[in-house]
Formats: sequence, structure tokens, C-alpha cells
Amino acid sequence: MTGVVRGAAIVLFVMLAAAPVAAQLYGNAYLLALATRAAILALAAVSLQGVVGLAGLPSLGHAAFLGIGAYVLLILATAGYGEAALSLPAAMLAAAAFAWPTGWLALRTRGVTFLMITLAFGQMAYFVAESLAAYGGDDGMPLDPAPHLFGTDLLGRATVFHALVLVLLALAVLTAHGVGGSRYGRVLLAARASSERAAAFGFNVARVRLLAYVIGGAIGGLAGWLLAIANGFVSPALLDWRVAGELLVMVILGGVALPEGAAVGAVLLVVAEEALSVATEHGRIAIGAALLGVALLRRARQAA
Amino acid sequence: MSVLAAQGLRKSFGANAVTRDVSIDLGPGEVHALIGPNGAGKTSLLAQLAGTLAPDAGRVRLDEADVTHLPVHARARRGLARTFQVSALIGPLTALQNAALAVQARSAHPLSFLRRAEGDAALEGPAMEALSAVGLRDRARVSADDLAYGERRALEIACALAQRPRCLLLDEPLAGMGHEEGRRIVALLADLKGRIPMLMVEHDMDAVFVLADRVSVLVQGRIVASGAPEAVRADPAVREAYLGAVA
Repeated sequence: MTGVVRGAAIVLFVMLAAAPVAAQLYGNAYLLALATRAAILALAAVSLQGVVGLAGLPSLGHAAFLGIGAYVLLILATAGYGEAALSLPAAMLAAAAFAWPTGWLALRTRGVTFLMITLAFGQMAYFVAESLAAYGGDDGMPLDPAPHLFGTDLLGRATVFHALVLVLLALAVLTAHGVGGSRYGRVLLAARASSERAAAFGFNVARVRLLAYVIGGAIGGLAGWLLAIANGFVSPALLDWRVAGELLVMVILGGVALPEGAAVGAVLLVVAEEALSVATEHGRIAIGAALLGVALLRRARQAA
Repeated sequence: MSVLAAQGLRKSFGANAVTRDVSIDLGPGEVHALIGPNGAGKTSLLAQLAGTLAPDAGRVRLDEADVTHLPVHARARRGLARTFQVSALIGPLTALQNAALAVQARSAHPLSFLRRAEGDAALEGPAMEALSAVGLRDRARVSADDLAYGERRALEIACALAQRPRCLLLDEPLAGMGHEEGRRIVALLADLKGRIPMLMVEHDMDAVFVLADRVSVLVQGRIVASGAPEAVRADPAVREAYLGAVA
């Protein structure tokens, strides 16, 4: 299973990396835009996988972090601070700053209750975004001008931006593996298996989990920042709970256990939705069936 | 001077008082056994000492410091180790990895992102020592889930030892064990006796009278007798309340 997921991840990554060439060959810029979008959502899914798979926290509020990252960029760019070197860390810090207190409260619960509370915080963020009249209210607003990187227009070039996204995605997956194999990752695993035992060893389980939630939130903010640039537009739709649900679906499609699995799930879901929306209105049924298949496979493997 | 001491502990769940004004202590090197019939409140008392259950009143002191309001992990950091009535281990991890986590928890960098957990001699060395002490050296690479029942109980003790505790709380270390397995654990605990103070809840009277320096009898949330094993065994109130019912 791990080998299959890893192989698929490498194949899909190479295909994403080849997207600029394909777009050139077919004279179809949309191909590149689609690949960039898939890679950004893969990054978002990897950040959620850390929270769900590594820390064992089923969050349905992850879209809020994407939204916060995007809105921080919009607000800064509108105010004349279009420099990426400023807005990127600001987006991540703002997402982390939201994750900290909301995570602290949500972590007083576990399981389905945790899911519901993160959903509630996500909805709160959604309604705040919707109420920002200066930034288009529920219509949202174009990101104008596009942000610059150290004074250059590099981010505005589709190929360079695509390459940046792929580098960040690869870094995120490698970092997730590094954390998973670290002492900290071992404690997360222990807390997932028996929080009672982890506490009896002397680990502050709540703090260990909160840290994972905040880091996941910060990377989610990074993905939102990227998505805003890719779309050239920011709106509350980014904070919709259905986005959070889709991210969770990506993580589950990828088998939950591996960061690269979440990335595979994200790319497959984006491509499938694209293909199925062209083919048939009811294409989403196929995605539902695939999800069911993965869940059953996981169950069968756990039982074995 | 006691390593662990509780004074005037009280705990009720609604109208059901599980701990009624209990004072108990554990001296350096001492093995103190807590016995009593089912439902006497032994596990609840242990939970209040370990910090998983907050008492309604009373104080818990560890090395003379008041830890009544400290959470479980903070007490563990101060040297309070425990085993559970129903084995609580990290199932997917090996015996060695379980014990290494206990070492990691008391290390200088318990939550490092940069240090790898696997193959770290600073963790696995002391962990292997603890496994050897309980006879699990040859089973170090077996996952906790795949260990036999008795081995899991032994691993719990190894993990507690790997914490280098100031004192040890044992909740029925012999529960559910076969005769042979049980004897091995008794021998192991007898070997630790004098080095690590232990407060032990146990039903096996033979083991209690072999190991304990002192026995306290808990009946309906109250300590009805406390003293040397022989004296407690002879106490008519104890015989009536507890031993008589069993024997």
C-alpha cells in the first residue's frame, strides 16, 4: 500500500512538473493553471494530513486557514504592501494565530465533537470574511495588483509561480516525513494510540497536539496565500465548509497515513472533478464510490 | 519523611463516596500494598495519586512538594510512574520503542523536531536496560500488540523503570496472569524492592504478603487497618471485612 501510494505520488509529481511543457505543446494555458491549482490544493491537503493523520485530530475547519492566508494577502496588497516577502510570513502567522486559541478550545474534546467544533470555528471565519464590505463582502474581490517578489514580477509569470508551488509542495511532504520520524512525531503517534499512556510517561498531550494543529494551520495559510495568487481573486467561497470537507476527502482518498497520499488524493480529486464535470453532472457519484472503496480497503487492512 | 503522601483525600461521584478521608503514605524503599474488596475504591485512590482524578478535598505530596493541582504529565515528570490495571501501551510500537518513549520523556529534548526517534542510542540504551531488567531483551523488536499478556504487563513495568521514577504506582500488576507468569513478576518486584518505593494495589494475597512491608486495607472508601502484613492479617476487623470473605 505504502509503495503504491509513493509510486503514484512520484508519477503525479512528474506529470505536474511537466505541465508547463504540455501547456506549451497544446497551446492550452488552462492545463498549466489546472496543474498549479492541483499542486496548491495538494499542499493544503498535506497540511491537513499532518493534523488528521499524524496528530489524529479530524478537523473540518481547515478551510479557515486557507481563507485567512488569502485575505491577509488581499488586505496587505490593497493597502499597498504587495511584497511577497512581507505578505507570505504574515499570512502564515495570521493563520497560526487563529489556530492557536481555536485549537486550544477544540482540543478539550475528541473525535466527532472535535470535528463539530472545528467546523463551527470555520463557519465563524467564513461569516467574518463575508462581512468584510471593504473587500467585496460575499462577492469577494480581485487581487490587484498581483503581488511582487523582492520587487520583481516573478510571481506573475505562470511557469515560475508553478515551479515555486511544486518546490513548496515537495518541501512540505519531506518536512512532514521528517517530523513524523522525529521525537516529536513519535510522541504524536503515542498520544494517538493511548493518550493516557503518553501522559503517564510525562508528555503534555494537549500541548503536543495543539502544536501540530497550529503548524498545520500555518501551512494551510501558506496554501491560501498561493491559491489567492493563482486565482487572482479572493472571496469567502475559499472558507466554505465544503472546501474543508473536500480537503478531508483528499486526505482520506490518500489513505490518511502518508503525507504524499494526501497529495495524491488532492491531485486525483481535482483532475477527476475536472474530467467528470465535463462528462456528466452526476460524476460526483464516482468520487463517492472511490471514497467508499478506500474506506473499506483501510478497514480490511486494519482487520488483517 | 515520605516519598509520596496523601492527606484527607475525599472524592464523591454524586451521592456515591468512593474515597472518604483517606491518608496514606509511602516511605523511601518501602513496598506498601493496598488491599480491599471489589468496589472499595482502590483504583479511584490510585487515580487521585497519579492525577487522573481530582479529589474533592485533601492534599497529595510528592517528595514533600504539593502536587495536588498538578496534571498527570507534570507528576510523571517529577518522578511518579505507574502501571495500569488494563495494560496501556503504545500498541503499534515495539517493546523497545515503548520503553524508549519513557526515556525520551525525561530527556533534555523530549519534543525535538530535529532528533530522530529511531536508532537513537541515548534513548534505546537505557530502554534496553529496562527491558533486560524485566526479561524482555529478546522481545525488544516485537510490537506491543503482538506480545503475550504477561509480557505486556512486564513491559509496563519496564516502561515505568525507564522513567527512572522516584516512586511507582502499580495497579494489580498480577491481574489476569497465569501462575508461572505471576511468579516471574513477583520475583521481578521483589528484586526492585528496596530500590524503588512502590504503592501496589493487588488481589493476590500470597504476593502481597511476600512483597509488602506494610499493608493498608480499604473498605468502602475508608482505610480500616494499616500496618505490618502479619498484624493486618490477624486484625479481626480485616478478617471480617475482607480476608474472611475470600478465604
